[in-house]
Amino acid sequence: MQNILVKDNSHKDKIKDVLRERAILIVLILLFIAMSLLKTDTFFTVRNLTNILRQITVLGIFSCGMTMVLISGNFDLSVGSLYSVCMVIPVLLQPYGLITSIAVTILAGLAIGALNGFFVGKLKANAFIVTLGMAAILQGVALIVTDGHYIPGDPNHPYAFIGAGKIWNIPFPVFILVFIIIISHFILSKTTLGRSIYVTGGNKYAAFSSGINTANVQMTTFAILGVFCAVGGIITSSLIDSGDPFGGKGFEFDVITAAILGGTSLFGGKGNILNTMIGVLLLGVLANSMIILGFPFSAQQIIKGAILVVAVYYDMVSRGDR
Amino acid sequence: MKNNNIFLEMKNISKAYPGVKALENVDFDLKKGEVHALVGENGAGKSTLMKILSGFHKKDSGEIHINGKAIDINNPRAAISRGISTIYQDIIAVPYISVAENILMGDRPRNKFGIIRWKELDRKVKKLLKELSIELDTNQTVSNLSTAQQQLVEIVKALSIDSKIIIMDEPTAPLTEDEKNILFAIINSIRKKGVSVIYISHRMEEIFEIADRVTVLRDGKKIVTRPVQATSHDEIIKYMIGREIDEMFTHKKAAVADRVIMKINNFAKARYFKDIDFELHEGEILGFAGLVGAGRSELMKAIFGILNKDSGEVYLNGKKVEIRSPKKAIRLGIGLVPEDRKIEGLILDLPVDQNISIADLKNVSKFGILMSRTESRLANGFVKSLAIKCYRLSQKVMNLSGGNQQKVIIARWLALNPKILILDEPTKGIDVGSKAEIHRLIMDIAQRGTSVILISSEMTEILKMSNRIIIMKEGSIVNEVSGKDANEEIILRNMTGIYNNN
Repeated sequence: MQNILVKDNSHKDKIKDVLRERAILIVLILLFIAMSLLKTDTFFTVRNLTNILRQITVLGIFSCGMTMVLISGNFDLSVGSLYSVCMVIPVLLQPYGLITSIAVTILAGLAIGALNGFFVGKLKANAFIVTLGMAAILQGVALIVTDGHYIPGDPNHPYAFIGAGKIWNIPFPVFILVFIIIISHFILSKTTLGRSIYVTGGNKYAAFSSGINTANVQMTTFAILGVFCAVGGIITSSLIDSGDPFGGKGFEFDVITAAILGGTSLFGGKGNILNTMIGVLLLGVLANSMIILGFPFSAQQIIKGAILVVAVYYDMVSRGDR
Repeated sequence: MKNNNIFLEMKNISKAYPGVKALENVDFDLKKGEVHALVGENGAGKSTLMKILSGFHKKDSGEIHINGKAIDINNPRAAISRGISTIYQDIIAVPYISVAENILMGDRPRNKFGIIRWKELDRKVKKLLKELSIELDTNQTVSNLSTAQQQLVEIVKALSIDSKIIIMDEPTAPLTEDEKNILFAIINSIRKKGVSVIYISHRMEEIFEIADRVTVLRDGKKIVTRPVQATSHDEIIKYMIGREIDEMFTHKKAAVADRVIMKINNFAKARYFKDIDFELHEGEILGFAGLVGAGRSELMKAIFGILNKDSGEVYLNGKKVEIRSPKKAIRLGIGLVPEDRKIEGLILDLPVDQNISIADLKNVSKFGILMSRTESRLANGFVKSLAIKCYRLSQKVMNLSGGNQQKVIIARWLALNPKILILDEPTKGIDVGSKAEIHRLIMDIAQRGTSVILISSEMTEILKMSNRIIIMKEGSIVNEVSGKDANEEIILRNMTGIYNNN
């Protein structure tokens, strides 16, 4: 039996939503102010802030794709390994020209993302298993093609500009990030694809029976994430001018943490790019702060892990109270 | 009370939900070792009464006595400790552990370190099974058992905790004839041990086979309690229907064209339905009556492309079509309002307007880009025309009442201007006011030429709305009657299987 009265909790919801969004933003601002006061000479410098920006660029790009995959109700654990692969490929292909090495890398990212999506969307396999398996396979591939070594690039190749170049004294990758944020936000909020992503993640059965091709929608989100991984791999390998077959190890963890911190639901149907970016900024500033404060690597790991657990717990609690 | 071996007595039980009086001063009693059948149409109050007895719902007023002593049952645990167990239609045995462990779940023998003594557990269960002459492999994992065997596990479990009253809710629905006979043999053996059974069923013949007495509920009131020897099928059905045919049924149904818009041929899906043939005429409301589980919802899902069928053909306007997905069905002008709006229909986290436009994204976008103004206009139109009560279009649909949520889903399908609209229990669980509005709305839709298929388990609704009524029983169509000739008795007889022709 339903209550016949129209309950308007939406007002309460809104306050809660706003508080939640702000909670992360407030933490970010407080941390930023505290660090600026505490470590003015090391933290609050153009050099360090540019550094943070540069460090979060790739995380931000990945998180845009991951946000879409999460909203559609899945997740992808293979992005770390795909990142490694996409660092190695363009460096290996440098001799064939800039266009070739970039194009092949992006196609590889697209294909691998689409393959993940094919298994999860079309064959309805479990995303955890599929992408975990894919992670192992890709790590193996990265090791085979590199023999397990760093692949040094040609420092005079135009390829180096992508990661290390600057326009108006702003690192070039930041422009790529902004471009990807705009595209992703546009897809999610203004297109039928974006709407289908929310609907599929919100209620897959309802989406399917309302005529949405949920398999294709899921596959598309994985494919987009794959392309973004390729972009990230290109930027990093260009910046360090080498292909590191282990370069992306564990990166999936940061990416999922950033998206969840930004309020993207692990259960699908909820989230948006701008909030994810707040999560990305928080992680970036936090990581930078911990390094400046001299936290050992182990402590950094523990703190990051704790943050993920708390964020996921919060997500679950806010689900449960409806 | 003239009978002194009354074990359970429920007196003056009342329960109201907002907008609905579910139970009004209902009396019910149960003797030791008795099988007491509880019957009534859907919504008569059987489940509510039993949920009060088993502690899932709280009564508003009334008393429950056991052995003459007034008791409180405030939660399921309290009911179990009073010896009241319920065996549900959808079994809840823990699937991945053994039969023995399932049966003694709450009372596993342990040694002083808290370790389970498996051998003793097994011995106890074997003894229990032997007493009841039930054959079950105690080491078998429950998920490997048949539905009937799982039901036996639940019964033995209830008896192992010394239940005095076992409530069985449509226990034979998932069983074959042979399995049913085994169940009845067990019921007969436990009643000899003094256990009482409250038996809820729609199947008349079973009630006369197994029950001692029968109580009829109608519209939340107790109508009568009779020993089964002193009554008949016909009498019970009359009691169930009760009310005189009221003016609702004299509703003038618009003359319907004879043009066949959809023809279903030979539809079959194992376990759900078979040999289904029917025609749908232009602008008619075709009612589908039947008991819960008769296969109506599954049939519609198969027509609509959600479920895969084993065989069968669909003809639209005489042309054969293949519908393998809802997307295709939508393109052919078919819509389906699902039975469970929250699970099958709504995206609870999304706002009203986005819930309305889901099936119609093509028309609110250009080159894949959403035109938010067109979308708002579409949604606004329906919010006005269907009187959907919401504060704004951006309100999350989860905060709407049941009736308004249902209107949102109907709006989603009306947005497509469907030629055929299938509605599966469109007024289930919604308040009386919205119900009347939805009824009017359905008639409007049909009058404008859309053909409607209406599944409803509510007799009055089906009789009031339908131009024709198809009655299904256990996956087959058993009869078809015109809306003019139909009455509750014919339908009830057909769907419960007392006879198959009029």
